[in-house]
Amino acid sequence: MRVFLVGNPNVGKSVLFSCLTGTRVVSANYPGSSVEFTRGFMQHNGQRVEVISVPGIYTLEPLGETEKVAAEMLSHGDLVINVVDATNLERNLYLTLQLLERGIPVIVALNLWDEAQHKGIVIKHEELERLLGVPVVPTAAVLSRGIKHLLGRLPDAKPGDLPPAGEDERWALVGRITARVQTVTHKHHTWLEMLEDASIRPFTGLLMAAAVIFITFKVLRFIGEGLIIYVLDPLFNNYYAPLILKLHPVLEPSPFWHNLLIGHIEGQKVDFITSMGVLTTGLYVPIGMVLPYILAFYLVLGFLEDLGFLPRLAVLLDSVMHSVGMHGYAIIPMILGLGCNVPAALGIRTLESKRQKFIAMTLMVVAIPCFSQTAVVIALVGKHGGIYLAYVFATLLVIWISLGLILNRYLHGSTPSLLIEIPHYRIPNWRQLGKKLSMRLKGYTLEAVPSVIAGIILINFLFTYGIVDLLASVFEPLIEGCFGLPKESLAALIIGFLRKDVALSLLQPLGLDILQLVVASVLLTVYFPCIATFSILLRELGGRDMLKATMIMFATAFVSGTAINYAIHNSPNTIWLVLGLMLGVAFLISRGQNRAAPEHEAKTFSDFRA
Amino acid sequence: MERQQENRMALTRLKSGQTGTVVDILGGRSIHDRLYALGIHRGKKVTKVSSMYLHGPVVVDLQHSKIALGFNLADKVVVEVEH
Repeated sequence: MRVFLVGNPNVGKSVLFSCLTGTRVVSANYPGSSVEFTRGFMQHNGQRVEVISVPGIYTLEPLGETEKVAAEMLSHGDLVINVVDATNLERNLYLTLQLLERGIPVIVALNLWDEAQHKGIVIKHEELERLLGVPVVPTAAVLSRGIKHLLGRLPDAKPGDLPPAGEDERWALVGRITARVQTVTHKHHTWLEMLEDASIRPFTGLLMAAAVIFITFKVLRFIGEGLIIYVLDPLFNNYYAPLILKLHPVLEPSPFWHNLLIGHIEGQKVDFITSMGVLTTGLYVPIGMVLPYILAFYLVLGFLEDLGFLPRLAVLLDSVMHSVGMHGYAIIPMILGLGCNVPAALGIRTLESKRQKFIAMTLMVVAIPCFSQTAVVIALVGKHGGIYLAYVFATLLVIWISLGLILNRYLHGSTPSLLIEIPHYRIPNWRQLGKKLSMRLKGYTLEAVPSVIAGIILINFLFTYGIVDLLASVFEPLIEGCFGLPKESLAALIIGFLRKDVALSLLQPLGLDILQLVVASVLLTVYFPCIATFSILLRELGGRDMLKATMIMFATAFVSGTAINYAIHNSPNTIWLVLGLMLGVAFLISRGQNRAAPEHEAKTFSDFRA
Repeated sequence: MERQQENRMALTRLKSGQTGTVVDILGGRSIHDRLYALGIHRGKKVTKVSSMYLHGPVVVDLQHSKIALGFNLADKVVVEVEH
């Protein structure tokens, strides 16, 4: 048997899916947090049932790729669980009616039941069941309530008997049903609702967004630094280092294994960053340096996601985002990209129009460092002073804006308008948050540790066989001449393709000064994505656009690397001048005639009246 | 007829807090369909919540949900205000 979970965006399909199948999927409080079909299995009456969660849709009419695929898939299922948001019955019922016209067995899960009660919305669900002619079961998936009842009633599901209707008839019917089954007792505005409105009003909204970003930084630093100083560093230095030192004489007779596992150690001290062994650097970088910040980042992100803050940011920044060729929603994958570019690239896939996708992908891979890299930048650059961190991130921000302005000016195609439902704020459920966090941390660890180790093995190999030296002498003019880095830094750029965090720590033994480190940090972000991101990019953009994007990366890396190098070595603060200049030039370029097609053929009302 | 015309305006011209009834959606089929699916259609009462600076999105309240429409999209939704 095959069961589909179908419903509007952001009604809790992913949470219900996890409840039914025990498979964990990332969920969040904004429309479009699940972009892929997720599949799992559950046992029901001794039968193995396939459960497929369909990404959120408002209609079965083929508006876009998602709706097309969803409508098409429905004919391959035996049963649809229609997940309906009880706090917004009217809008959700439209899709329900469409499903009932399809002749496939349907059961309705009236989800977010608890929240509806909170808001003073009363739905007579028996009456609704009678009117729709299919089972209706109240559920609160986040609290695992109503799930058993829902499963118990699966056999009662039956095809609807509605004749196909036009849109207007359907809305009229929705109106009549809602009037019959729903009563809303008006409650006083709660403080959460007051916050809701304030966060989409221009002035208070921007103020709140600024506050949220500021607090986020503080919390990230507090948790990340705290974990490193008080937990992980003592753990590594006091307990793990002595173990390595004991292993050191044992492995001494076989230089090959010693080099690979432990790397270089001098005297009785283990330097976890520079030793470059699998057991030393290979574990310390992903676990001791990066993991604490990844944990901090995903904790804060998870909270903001479940609260429902991100779509509000999309509204606040929409007009700014349009000047760099995207609409406001694109800010969400950008923020996800600060954690890891891979899930962010999947999020970009749902943006409308090819042009917008290309701009978003390119800007993300060029100027959004993932948190693995950021963590190492914080460790290596940050210890010389916050101002150097400011150089790195300000440069990346300026690159992001300038490149966006330029791409928006020259690319053909169109960027559509924002259209998004703003969810209510929900106080995050701590259990859900914990589950999501542990899933993301597990994902990170399983990915990072093996690839860091692979990177270290590869780098040992490249050095042993003199490949780095060979390539380094070829690229010497570029690396030393333009970027002012020692030619061996090339090794970091090679490894950066595998993993950016370990690549940065490769620079440590080369004895770069802080100014060179700033240049290298920027270069490592800009020049090319890591292999995991690259493969998704290739799949999403196709060979030709990927080639275009690659050209842009190389050009940006060359221009910004050279400019920053000359500026910073002139006197560090010249960098501000150069960044200002870059922005100014990009702004002037962007003022030319925009090549983007006018968004829609029809005139707007203002034109119409004039 | 004359008075009716004066009461008609695009969502972008509506003041925050004002309520109007959608009477027309200018533009092609795809715009119509996208808005329709979110519950914005002829005859629907909408209350404007806010609009952002610099031709930013307009947010409207549809009783149980809030929808943000980009400026160009909001400019195509014509509402009539009762006095």
